[in-house]
Amino acid sequence: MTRPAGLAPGASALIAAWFAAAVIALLTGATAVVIVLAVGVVVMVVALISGTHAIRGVRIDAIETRAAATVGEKLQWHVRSNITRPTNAEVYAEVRVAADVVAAGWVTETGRVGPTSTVIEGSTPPRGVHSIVEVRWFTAGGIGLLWWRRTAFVEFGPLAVAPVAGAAGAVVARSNADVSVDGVVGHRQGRDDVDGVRTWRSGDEVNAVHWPSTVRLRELVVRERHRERNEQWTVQAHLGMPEPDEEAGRVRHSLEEGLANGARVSVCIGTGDPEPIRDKADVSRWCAAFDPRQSTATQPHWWQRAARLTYAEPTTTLRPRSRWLVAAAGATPVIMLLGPLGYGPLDIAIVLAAFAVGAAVSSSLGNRLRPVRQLVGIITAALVGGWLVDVEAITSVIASLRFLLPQLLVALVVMQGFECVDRRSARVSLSCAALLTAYSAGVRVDEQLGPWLVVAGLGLWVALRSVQQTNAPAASPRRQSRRGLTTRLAGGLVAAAGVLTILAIVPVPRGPAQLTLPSWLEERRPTNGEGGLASPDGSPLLGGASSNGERTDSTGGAGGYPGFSSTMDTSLRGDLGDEVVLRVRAPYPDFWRGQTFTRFDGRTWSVDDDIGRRSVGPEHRITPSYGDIEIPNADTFIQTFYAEVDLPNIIFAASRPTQVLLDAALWQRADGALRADVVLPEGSAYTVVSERSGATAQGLRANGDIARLGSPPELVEIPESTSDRTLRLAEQLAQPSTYDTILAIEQWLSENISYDLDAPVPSVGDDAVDHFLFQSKLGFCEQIATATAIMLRSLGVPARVATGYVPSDRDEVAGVWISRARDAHAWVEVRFPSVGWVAFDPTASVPLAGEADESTVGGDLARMLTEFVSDHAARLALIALGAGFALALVRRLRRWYQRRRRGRWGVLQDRFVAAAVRRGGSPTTSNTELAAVFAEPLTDVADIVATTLDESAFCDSWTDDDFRFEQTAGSVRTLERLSRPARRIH
Amino acid sequence: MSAVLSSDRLSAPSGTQYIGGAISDTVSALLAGRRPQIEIATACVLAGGHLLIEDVPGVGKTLLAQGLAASIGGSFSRVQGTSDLLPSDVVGSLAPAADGFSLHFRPGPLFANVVLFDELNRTNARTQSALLEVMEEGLVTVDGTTHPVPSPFVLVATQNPVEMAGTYPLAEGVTDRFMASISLGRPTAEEEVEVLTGRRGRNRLAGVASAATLADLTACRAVVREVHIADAIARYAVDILHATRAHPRVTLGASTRAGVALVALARAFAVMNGRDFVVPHDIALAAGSALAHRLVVPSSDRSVTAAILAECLASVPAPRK
Repeated sequence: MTRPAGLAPGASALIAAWFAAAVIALLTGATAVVIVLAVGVVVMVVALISGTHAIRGVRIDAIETRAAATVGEKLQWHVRSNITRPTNAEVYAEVRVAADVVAAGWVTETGRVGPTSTVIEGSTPPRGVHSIVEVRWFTAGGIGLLWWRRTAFVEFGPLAVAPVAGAAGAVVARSNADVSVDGVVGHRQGRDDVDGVRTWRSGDEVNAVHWPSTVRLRELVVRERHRERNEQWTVQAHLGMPEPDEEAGRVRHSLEEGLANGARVSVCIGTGDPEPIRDKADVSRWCAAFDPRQSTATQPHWWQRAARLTYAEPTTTLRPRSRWLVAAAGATPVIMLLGPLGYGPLDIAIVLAAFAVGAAVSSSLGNRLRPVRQLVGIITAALVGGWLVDVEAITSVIASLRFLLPQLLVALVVMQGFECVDRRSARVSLSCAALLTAYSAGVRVDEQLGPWLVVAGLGLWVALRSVQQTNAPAASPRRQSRRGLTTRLAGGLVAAAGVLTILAIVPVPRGPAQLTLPSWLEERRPTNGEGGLASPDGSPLLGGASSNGERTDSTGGAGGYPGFSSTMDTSLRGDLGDEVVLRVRAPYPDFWRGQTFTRFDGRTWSVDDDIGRRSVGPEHRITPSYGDIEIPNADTFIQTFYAEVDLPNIIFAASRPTQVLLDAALWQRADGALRADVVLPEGSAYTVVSERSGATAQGLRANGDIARLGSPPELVEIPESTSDRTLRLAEQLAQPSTYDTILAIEQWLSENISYDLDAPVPSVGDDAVDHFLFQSKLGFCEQIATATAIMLRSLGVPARVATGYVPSDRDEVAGVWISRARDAHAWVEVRFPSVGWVAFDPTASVPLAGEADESTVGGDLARMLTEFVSDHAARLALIALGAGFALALVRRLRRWYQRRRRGRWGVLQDRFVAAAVRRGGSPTTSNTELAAVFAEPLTDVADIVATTLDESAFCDSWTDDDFRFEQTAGSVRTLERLSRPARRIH
Repeated sequence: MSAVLSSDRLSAPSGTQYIGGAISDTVSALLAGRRPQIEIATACVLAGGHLLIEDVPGVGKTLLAQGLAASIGGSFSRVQGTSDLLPSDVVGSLAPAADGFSLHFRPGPLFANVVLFDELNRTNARTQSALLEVMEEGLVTVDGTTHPVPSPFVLVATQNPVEMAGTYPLAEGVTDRFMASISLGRPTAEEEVEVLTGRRGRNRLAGVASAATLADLTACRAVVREVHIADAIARYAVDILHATRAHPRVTLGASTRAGVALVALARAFAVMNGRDFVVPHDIALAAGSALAHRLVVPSSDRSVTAAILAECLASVPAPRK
């Protein structure tokens, strides 16, 4: 029966790290941490399974040792085991006799199928005759977190363990038959018969020495007398003595003394019949078996036994190689964490150097000089912490999450590196590394995160496995079977599928916890104007470019997009690049709105002059602006915006924001837009909490025609220049419900207008909407949005134009939406009485708030993978082809190397052995015996091959001959072909 | 195992590899079945060693010895071991000469090419020890005068492992001087039919023509001594010896003399297979018969010893290129 034997020391730290990572996932709402957690769960399951799998592949067949021993001797125990499934896990065997562990050691050669024998140096069990032994064998699989145990009771040739001869003897009754019969009083008279010679014993008379033999043998030899032979010693053994072992020792003393004196010896228990003892072996056997009293040993209670099952690992030693792997595994997440926090190569190099010092000190000192090691560790950690922490940046609790906590964590991990001298501390180190990985997965949002996570995960995996191994594997099991490789590949695929399955039921996190909403400014660049727009460098931004020829001011907002200034000429778009501008961590895609425009003069939209209410941060409650509706029980929608370039002081947010976290003052404008009194430099982040309106097509349609409800005049105002055909078109497209009208307008636009970023600019004085709808019929989002808004306004529907960013990509690993400069966008917002402002846009694929699907992390990842495969099919095929070529090349090289190392006959010999082993031969037998495993038609061929191979190896007059080589190689090929499994033959 | 390989590439000195086959064939014509044991006996003769046969009476031990003698064309004599047999009964003694005054040496039954010492363990330790000199040196010393026994000299001793009462178990020093030990075992039913019908057995002995002359055998022994043994194979033999010493159920492992016998026997096998070099299989084949009687194990059962030897062999990987 297989049962868990206990956790490996330090495994609980890994479990604790998993829970800590779960807390990080809750606090940051990062998808990547969820992925890390899922991988962690799968690794734990694998750790369980690999142990049980490995332990079932090992069977202990027999235990052998000597037949007799004395208490306290060293004893060699031969453990004969049979490996039915090769494993690279290390198996530890423990031999117990009568509940005492007498030997324990590692089982050798577990990587090869077949019987293997291990010699374990051990001790003797207690006095007695033992014929059954309990063998427990343990393994923790390749990962080594949970130890599993199997137990077997094996019978073995009885082992008689004799006591050590006591200092004093037992009671002895001596008698001499000859003396009593002949009346001869002693050997001093020398009257009894001489019966041969024997070596000298203490107490012999000098005149008994037999000089001729003494001279010949060069040791003292005396004449042996008949009388001595007939002396009879009867040793009395007693039952019920308080110390049975001592009594047995006393008996042994007397029996051996009697034998040494040449007497006939026997022993009797109490008044029983005397039992004759012939030689020393008899003495040990009798003393081992002597049982003076019933044993009164009691079994421990179950709770006492359970208390011992806490931790189990036979050894605590850590190889230097493992120590350095642990350091490398710890360094990876540090690089991963410090890079995006704004630290340069110098800082990272200093931390890595501290790691290396820790590894070097702990692996060279080991357990010696512990206080010195700890002192050096504390000093190094303090130096690293002092170097990294920037005290001035820590202005609030939220800032400390970014400017204090990670640095302290790094310093702590550096300090832990000095403590890492055994397996337990190595696993604790790895837990710290895993925690840092989770932390950086929570902090990072860039696209490098995925590859970094893979590197960090592999590092942790390799280090974890290396910590588990006692020795470098002598015979790597990788070489011996292709099946092992296939099993590993299949295992990897199953594990990956397991991760995806777990993730498939985990929804995309809704966002960070309220406590830890991220918000920081990389640099404080105040603006000059009171609530006015400012360009990214902080200077005022007065207005956008105009297609009327008169340039009002600069070219506009971020990346030159005219929509991020106080006026927007609908005919200009600007030259927008591909660079990433914003990363937004949010569960759904939405319009990231920056500005709203209500006034239109026929060519240019402009914002209201009202700068609105000022609120002081860092936590801003946003009051609803005109047209916003307070929806009871609305979904909160948390978005964290990460500025990837310098941005103006526009606060982008999904409609309708209720709370903004930004450490600066905000102007909450009446038109719903938000502006800060600082600009947002690259690397800054802020968080917005919005209410999601929950608008659905059904609900919007139910509002009917909203024109009849009336609205403020500025929201339905159309410019003088609006042409009649525009108005007619609007009336023509009008439907009973406003929602359908909007759809009809979008439908008409998609059928009659082409999307074109190079649309012609209308001539000075023309109405831009008319020019777009009926003359050029070419345009982009600003014109589409403007035309829709003007047509809706002409029907009496309150509408306005908003500008901002739409998400174009999703980074599924980091769980962020990516907006590039060219994703700057303009769209229509229509005010519905039931839900407030709703954004409409035929060109961006953003669903209505109430219709967005809630996806899961696994679903997202699976979609990403399938999209990646279908998008890059050709490239993947090319890579596969390249990998195939590389593999073929590697095999070629390996074969060439083998040939160089082993010679051509050596290679042939290896192939012959492999073919024979496939047929069931044992790899240790000679070539001739291997040849015998081939069936009838092949026997002769195999015999000749075996003889030739032996000749090439052992004949001193051997000359290499190409013809013979070709002939033998052909025979080996035949043997190989016919020794493949049967499916290849038919 | 075929004694004569048809391969023309194998490079043993011409003629010698056929002697082994011829001797084995001759003995096989007498003794039904038991070909492997016959080949071990032949190899033992070619290697210049002495043979110990452990088996129950009536399985053909004497016939095997007589067949060996006949096939090499040598003289044969036989000694029956009893507890009152004295050394002089075996090696010979001084007897009054015809003139009645001087003494001359009267050779004992040891003075033959093939000597069968039946039931060696029934004779006392003194007589057993008297064999040591002749086995090691091929010489007999009586009253200070040394007499060489005929060369080649092969002593074939038998002992009955079943009936142990009243015997003098062979000392380790004596058993160690036998190069190989075999157990003939029972013939199969078909083989017994051959014996009972007279197609095999003692009555064919008279018609046996010698397969080789004594000179051939002497030459062949010289060839066997010259067979090349690679260091790797010698190392293999040593590893096997070490394995027997480290085996938990062996009280006393094989000695270095055992290793010498093992290699000599393997060399003879190589020559019988037409090779002038030893291959690992020769060692593996020789180990069974060269080591079995030398191991001291708690049980006197030959099958136990064989099983232990097989384990030792399996634990040592055979050398290869």
